[in-house]
Amino acid sequence: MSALSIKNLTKNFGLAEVICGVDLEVEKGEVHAVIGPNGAGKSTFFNLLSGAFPSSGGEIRLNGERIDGLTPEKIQQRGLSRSFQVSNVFVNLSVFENLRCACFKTAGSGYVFWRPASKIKAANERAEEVLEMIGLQALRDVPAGALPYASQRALEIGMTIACGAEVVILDEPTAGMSNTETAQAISLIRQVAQGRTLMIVEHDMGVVFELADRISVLVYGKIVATGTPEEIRNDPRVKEAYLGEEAA
Amino acid sequence: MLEIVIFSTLNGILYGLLLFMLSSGLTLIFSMMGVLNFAHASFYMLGAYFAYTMGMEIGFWPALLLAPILVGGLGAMVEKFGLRRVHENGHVAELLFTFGLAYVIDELVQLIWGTVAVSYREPDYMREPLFTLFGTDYSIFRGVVILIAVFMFIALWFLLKKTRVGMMIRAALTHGNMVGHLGHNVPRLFMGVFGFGCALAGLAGVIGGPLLATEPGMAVTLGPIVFVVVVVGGMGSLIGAFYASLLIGLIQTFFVAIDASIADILNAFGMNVDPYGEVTGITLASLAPMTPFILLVLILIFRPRGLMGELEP
Amino acid sequence: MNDITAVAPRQNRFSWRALSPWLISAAVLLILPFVLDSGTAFTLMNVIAVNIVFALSYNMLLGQGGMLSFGHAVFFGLGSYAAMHAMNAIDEASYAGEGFWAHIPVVSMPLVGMIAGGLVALVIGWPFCRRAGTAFAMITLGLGEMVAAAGQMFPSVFGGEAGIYGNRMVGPQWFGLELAQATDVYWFMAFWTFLAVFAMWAFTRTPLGRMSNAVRDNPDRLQFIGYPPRNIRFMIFIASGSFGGLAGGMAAVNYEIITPEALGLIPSGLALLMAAVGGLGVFYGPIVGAIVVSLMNSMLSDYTEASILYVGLVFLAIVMFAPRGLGGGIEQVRVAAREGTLGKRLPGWLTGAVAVVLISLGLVLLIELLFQWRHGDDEFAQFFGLNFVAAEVMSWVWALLMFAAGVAVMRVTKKFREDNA
Repeated sequence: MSALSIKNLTKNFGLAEVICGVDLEVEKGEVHAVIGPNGAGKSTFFNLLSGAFPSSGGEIRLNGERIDGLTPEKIQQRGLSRSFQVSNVFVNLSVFENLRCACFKTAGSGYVFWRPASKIKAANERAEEVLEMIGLQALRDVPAGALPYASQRALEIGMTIACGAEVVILDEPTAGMSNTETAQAISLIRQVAQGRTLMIVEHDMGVVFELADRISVLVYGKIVATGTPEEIRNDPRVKEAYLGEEAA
Repeated sequence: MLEIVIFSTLNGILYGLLLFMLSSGLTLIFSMMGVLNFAHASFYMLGAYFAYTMGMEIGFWPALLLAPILVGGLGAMVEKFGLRRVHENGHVAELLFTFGLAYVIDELVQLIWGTVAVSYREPDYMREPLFTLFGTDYSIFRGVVILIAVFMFIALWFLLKKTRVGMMIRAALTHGNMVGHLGHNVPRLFMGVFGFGCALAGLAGVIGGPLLATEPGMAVTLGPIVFVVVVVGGMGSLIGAFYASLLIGLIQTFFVAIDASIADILNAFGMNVDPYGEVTGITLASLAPMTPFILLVLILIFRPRGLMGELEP
Repeated sequence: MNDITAVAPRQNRFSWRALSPWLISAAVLLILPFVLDSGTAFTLMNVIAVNIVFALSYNMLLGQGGMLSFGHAVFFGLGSYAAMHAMNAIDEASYAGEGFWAHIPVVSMPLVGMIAGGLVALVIGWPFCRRAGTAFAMITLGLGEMVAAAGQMFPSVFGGEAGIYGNRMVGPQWFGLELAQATDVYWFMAFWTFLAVFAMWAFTRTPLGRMSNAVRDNPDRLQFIGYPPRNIRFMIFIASGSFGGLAGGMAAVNYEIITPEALGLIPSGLALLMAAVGGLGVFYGPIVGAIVVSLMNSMLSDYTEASILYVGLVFLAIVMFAPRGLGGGIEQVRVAAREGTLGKRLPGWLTGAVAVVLISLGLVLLIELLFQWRHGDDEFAQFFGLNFVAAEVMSWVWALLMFAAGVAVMRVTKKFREDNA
């Protein structure tokens, strides 16, 4: 059974058809990249998966169960978590606090008001784990809004995996990063990918070809090709629509 | 009975038009700048007081022209030197600023004109009846008010639909950022719109003062009702504000006219209820001040985006 | 990141340093009645106590939860009414010698208020908490006005315009507190204030307290970590309403009367005023704000007719020029002291303070002259012991001079301040 199974997914905004029948299967444990020219609908696609928008048709199955039409909280509970292209953190809370908040759901204690947050062992321990994984221990008490850009992106990823979701979708995790920062991000993502199913949207082809087990190409709301990096690299349709001379 | 209906309708429309004058300015400012001008009713009050003071020297009609301009100018200054500075601190800060402004304006008015109502009346010749129905006079002034209000709406419509400035405003109503990117001088536009909105409120004050009493509490009484109008109409929708103004104006006026108690109504349906009980003895007339807020709560429960609103705010 | 409503919290380690503010406050509360011994002082302190709890409860909504409310007095007023009715029930029951209420001491009235406030928030809050921001503010405004209007309507509950009065010297007396003298009431106030402040502070350290900050900072993201923003907001609403009701219960015991005016826009606005002046982003901000505004309200009216105007101007000035409030300013000084930059920045701050003083003096004189010109029964305006006559042009000139001097100092030292920031 695939981790994520998407069949004939459509989304209309009024008369504009942004997603026009997407079929996609993401295997358990793989790293699946979604690429495509600007305006292809990649962000909308992620918003549909994570429940931010309702779909106009089709179905989305997570581990065999339908999740289309569910609220974002329910989808997160079922085990699908997402990161954002523009860092969507809690700007006035410290890095550690951000992570800990993301851990409350799994610890079942978001509504608790009779014990201090520092005493919720499960949440605190998990937050420490993730803090170490994303390498931000030194910035632990810095307000998230004051972080340098790459650290914010790392925190973004940290918050996404903190809840322990099995299926993680990352929206342009290396957007706006320099080469060194990208290299660090790649190693973090590789760590994150262990034991999880990962779907990422990316523009940076270097990142995509390094990390992805399989790649799907989204053009004008439809998947035009799916396959291993080699297959995609050599696919004439993809070259024509997107890659051009550079990666040929 | 017919008399009550006719006069309540006329007065309700009058009151509703006044409310629309106030809420249109507020809606323009809110749609354009995202700021809910808490001090809007205070500018209304300033319009009344300015017209009162000026009217004693120069007469009603010149004051009608000058007072709104003065209030509008004041509004523009407030935007330029006050609101603009606070703008970068976020919407909450802007609301706090206009709240503090309302506070200060109210106190300054009391300081300058005293805590008792001033006798700002319409000119004598306008107190003559326009027509007499069932023995009750309907003064010329009220007819004049309706005319002024209607004239204002036509002018507003013309401004928004037919002029370049109007086009910019309409564009900014839905896509504020883009207007700036297109090269228009957004700060100047903001200042102009804020000033214009305040001028509208001032105009409402010039004609509302004689109608509804000119006293330092007039802002606090009318202010919340104007906000209800804006929310019920759908925040950001001028047409919604129009419908909501008339609705609230008519409902409140009708309730005031009806002296029946809840018990009377229930008994008319055949139930046998004590007419002097605490709850059942409440008359519709005494409920009248509450009706806008009851409407607000109902709208929020059943149709949160308001009558004509598009997005939930 | 210029949001005026927040400052990052510090971490959770136990230390004497963290405990010291509480110890110092407790010590101050214990010593105060022996230092200030007049009747007016005690009256004032009791008022301040109620306002501290009221303002803090308001900040649970605004500063911590990001929800601007114009109807907070509803919880305060209804809590006060509940406590008042309870006190009267105690009175009757003790007189009759039997019944449930005969066993309840008046000192527990804040709890009655708290329960009332919480219940009200629970019953009415759900439809309101859909969104924050301007819409929420308007909804609470309408709600406040509606309840205030209803307050004029049900005499057996609200007592009409005259309100409902009670007697606090009834029922079982715990801790030997007769609650007759102002000193007795002071201990009652001090106890509940300390308890309430501690409880509200502890709330900020709980998961729900943290989540309230999260819903303020980024309600969208909250969904994606598993919590609907509406639920969190609703719970904060209830918590804030409970503590608002607690303040109301304290007020009922203190003033022994409650009128429908306490439900309306004016006291709601006061809560906002106190919280904003003190600083929304620091926990103790509203405490500072409550003290300053209460002092201004009560003491200024001895010296001037325009005291309310001054409070409003202070509020406006803070919103425009010092949006983080007095508490934010204190924090700036503390951070500078901790980082060692205090010496560098102090001259800049001091010159700024001098400029502010000059500008304020000019404005005050202007307002006093204005007042004397329009209403004065006396011959002259009183200004810090000096007399100025409004009819003389020179008086106005002095006012403008001071104002201009202040602005000049501000301008001249601005660069100096920026260089040392």
